[in-house]
Amino acid sequence: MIAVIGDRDTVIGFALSGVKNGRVAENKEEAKDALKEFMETPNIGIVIITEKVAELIRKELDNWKNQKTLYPVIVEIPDKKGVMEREDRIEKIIRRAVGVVPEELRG
Amino acid sequence: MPEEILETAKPTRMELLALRKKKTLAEKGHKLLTEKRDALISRFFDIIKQRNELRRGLNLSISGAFSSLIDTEMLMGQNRIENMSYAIPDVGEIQTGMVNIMGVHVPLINSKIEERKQNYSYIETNAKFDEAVEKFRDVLCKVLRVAEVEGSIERLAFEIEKTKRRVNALEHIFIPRLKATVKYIEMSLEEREREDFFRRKRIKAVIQK
Repeated sequence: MIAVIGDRDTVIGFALSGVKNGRVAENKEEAKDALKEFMETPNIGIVIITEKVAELIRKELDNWKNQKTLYPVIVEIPDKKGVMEREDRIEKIIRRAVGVVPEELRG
Repeated sequence: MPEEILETAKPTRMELLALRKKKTLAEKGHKLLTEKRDALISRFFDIIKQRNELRRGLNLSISGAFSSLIDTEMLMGQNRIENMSYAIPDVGEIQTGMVNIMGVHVPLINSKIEERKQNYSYIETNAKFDEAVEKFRDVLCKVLRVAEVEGSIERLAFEIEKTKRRVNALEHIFIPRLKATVKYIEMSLEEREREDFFRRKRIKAVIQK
């Protein structure tokens, strides 16, 4: 099952593609609640979350991922305002694993 | 630290033989783990390349999809679009599994979403709405592909870190310590040999007197 957490437009957008498990989160509390709800739902394979919301609940997200299970996979996507300028989560993971990332592999 | 010897080691020949065996084993293990680490890393880089490409595509699709969505929202209003979205069939379950890359389980996600008949009313919507629906379907497909690749990156990174730690522990702590212990036992045995030798000489001298 796929779940979406994000601003209203993101949730509507994914609803148009057929993903009905969307929760609108505009602030930290809403984001936390949404995350908690999905953590308790069995069979969630993929969580799509906007970068902005992910930043709000970074700690909770990391905790969840540290449970070292294969699923759910969390995918962070930009929202309608575009990509945030920062080192994203996957880039951080890559850097930690192999030290420096060779120039040609940078995104 | 590296000169430290194993505290439990008794300077006996038996222990020396056992330790030598252990040392060979540790060195073999170290070699194997180094190879594993290098293989994982080269695989890792391939996947990173894939990920960068997919990400770039996804980010482009997303901004395109949002601009269509915002256009149709201006024409129809957010609430009506939200209502219309209820008429769109659920994608339902996605097929997930796992594959084994060199002993690491990584996610495998089927990114094909079934084409279902759209049953929203064409009278109440407009072309921009259709466009947004189409584009978000495309985004969803791409998100699934990215999810598979990023999930793999996460698992591989975790495994690489673990292997690295093991290689380092063997290389910098375990093997030097074994080496130091072997050396220590060899020296004690030699020392005992010399003592024995001297003792025998001495006794011989005493007897001959």
